[in-house]
Amino acid sequence: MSLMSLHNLRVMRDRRAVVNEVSLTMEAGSLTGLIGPNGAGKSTLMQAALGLIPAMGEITLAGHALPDLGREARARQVAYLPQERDIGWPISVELLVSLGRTPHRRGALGPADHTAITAALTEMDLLPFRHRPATDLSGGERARVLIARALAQEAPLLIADEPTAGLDPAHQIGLMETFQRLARAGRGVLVSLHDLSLAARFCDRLIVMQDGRAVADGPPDAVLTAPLLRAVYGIDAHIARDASGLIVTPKGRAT
Amino acid sequence: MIRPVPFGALMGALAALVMLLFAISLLTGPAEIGTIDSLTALLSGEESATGIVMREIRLPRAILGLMIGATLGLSGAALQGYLRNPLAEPGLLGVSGAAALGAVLALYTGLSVLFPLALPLMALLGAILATLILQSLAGLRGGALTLILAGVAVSSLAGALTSLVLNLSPNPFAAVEIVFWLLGSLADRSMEHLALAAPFMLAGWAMLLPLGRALDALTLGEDAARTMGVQVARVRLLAVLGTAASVGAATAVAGAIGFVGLIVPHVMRPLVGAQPSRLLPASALAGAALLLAADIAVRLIAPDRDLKLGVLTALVGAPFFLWLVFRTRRTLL
Repeated sequence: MSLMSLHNLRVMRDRRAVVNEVSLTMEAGSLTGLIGPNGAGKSTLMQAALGLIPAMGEITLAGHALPDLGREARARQVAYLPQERDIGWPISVELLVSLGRTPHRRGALGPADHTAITAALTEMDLLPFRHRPATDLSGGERARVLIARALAQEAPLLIADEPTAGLDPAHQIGLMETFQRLARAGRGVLVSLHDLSLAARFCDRLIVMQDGRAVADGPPDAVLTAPLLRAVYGIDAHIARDASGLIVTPKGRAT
Repeated sequence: MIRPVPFGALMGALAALVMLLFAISLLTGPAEIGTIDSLTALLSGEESATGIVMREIRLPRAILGLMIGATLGLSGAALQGYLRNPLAEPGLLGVSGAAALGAVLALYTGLSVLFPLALPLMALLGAILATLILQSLAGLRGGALTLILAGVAVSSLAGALTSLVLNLSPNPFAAVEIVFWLLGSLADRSMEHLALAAPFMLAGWAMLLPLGRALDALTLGEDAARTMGVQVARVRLLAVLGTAASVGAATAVAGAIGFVGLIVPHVMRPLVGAQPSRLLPASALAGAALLLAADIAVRLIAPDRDLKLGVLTALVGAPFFLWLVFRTRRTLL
């Protein structure tokens, strides 16, 4: 059974379909990259799949239609890292990560909650930071804290909207390695990305969006071709290959 | 490193402080009554002059001080938490401005002379109308920004109409009476005032206090909170209605008392590790303590001049807020 499946998903905004008849499934163990130019509908697709905005079509989470699942049941199936990374108050890293337990508990944190929080802090290498105010951390550390929060939610599917935006190359790679590790440990991870090399080297599957439609879906080797990049992004790119995958470098606008 | 004060100890200390200030408030007033005498008169229920002063004048004043302070602290913390904005305060929604307008109309039309409770009743009516306008403007689907803008609109309209009433007041004495009421005070409030306002304040607290966990999740923004199972629209409704009920009632009996709802959450935030759910009860207790202390102070500083409570809270509050901004400007900007 797939973790999530979207069938003919359509989102209208001002009478225009910003997501147009998109169908896809997310399987456990896959790190799937969602790529495409600005305005192609990547964020909208994610928000619609999560039930954050109204959409037409069918959304199924772990075999259940989305409308049949309560808010907390949904939250136990899929965790979401929004593009917005503001942290409202200078709460401690540990408290922030514990927010991921919100859909699992009624009262105080129980032993299972503490186990999940410690596991998430350990996975993201945050134990030394746990008493620091999350707002004091650097951008890269903060990104790790927010992922740890999503991990503490213990949902089999993680959806992350441009998690590498604004990070230095080392942190971008570190983050993608984390997602890869999570996928290998059995979760499904869907990330939207703008860096094509990052997408090519870490994701096992890429979905390309253009004008609200999914125009390509497959392994990076099959998807990232010169004609596609020209058609979707309007660029000419240098596509090379080394032992660990493709390297895609934009050369200029397509003429 | 965050090293908040142990939460139980903090709440215990604040509760003890509130009780102490409540007792001092009962013992403070122009009538010179000894400590023992006043407490025996209060508890025995005797019909002596002392008993009447204690039960009819000081007790409602002390209870109102406690409840209104708690209301301002709690609603300030809840609004700051929901809006994720450290500058939010209970007056932001315009409900207190509208309540003040209702009271001013009662004074202007002379209804308050014919029927003393007309003033708080008209104020409550103003608060309810403002809440309805606010809900129809910012509704269930509106976001935090819509709510702020709607609040500013309601606030400005109520302020403009209040100015109009002052402008049209028949004589300077009427204008002075209105202005003095607007300054905010707990003097000469009766048990009837308390009976009128208390149910609304308690109902407001009942809506605001359970929001803690949802406000914690909202630290990460509305989308993240929703995907963690938080019903954000419900949180907004409860935050608006809870603030409107409690602050509307507080303003109806005491006038507009500024700065308590803005400052108390700022003072408490470092002590609770900035956790919104802990900030709610801590701010309620600290608000009660602050308003009781201020109401004791106005009676001690100028017993003969009727120094208004709202004036004192603003006089102390504004410089204190300035200092807070100065101290935290690096993180605020």
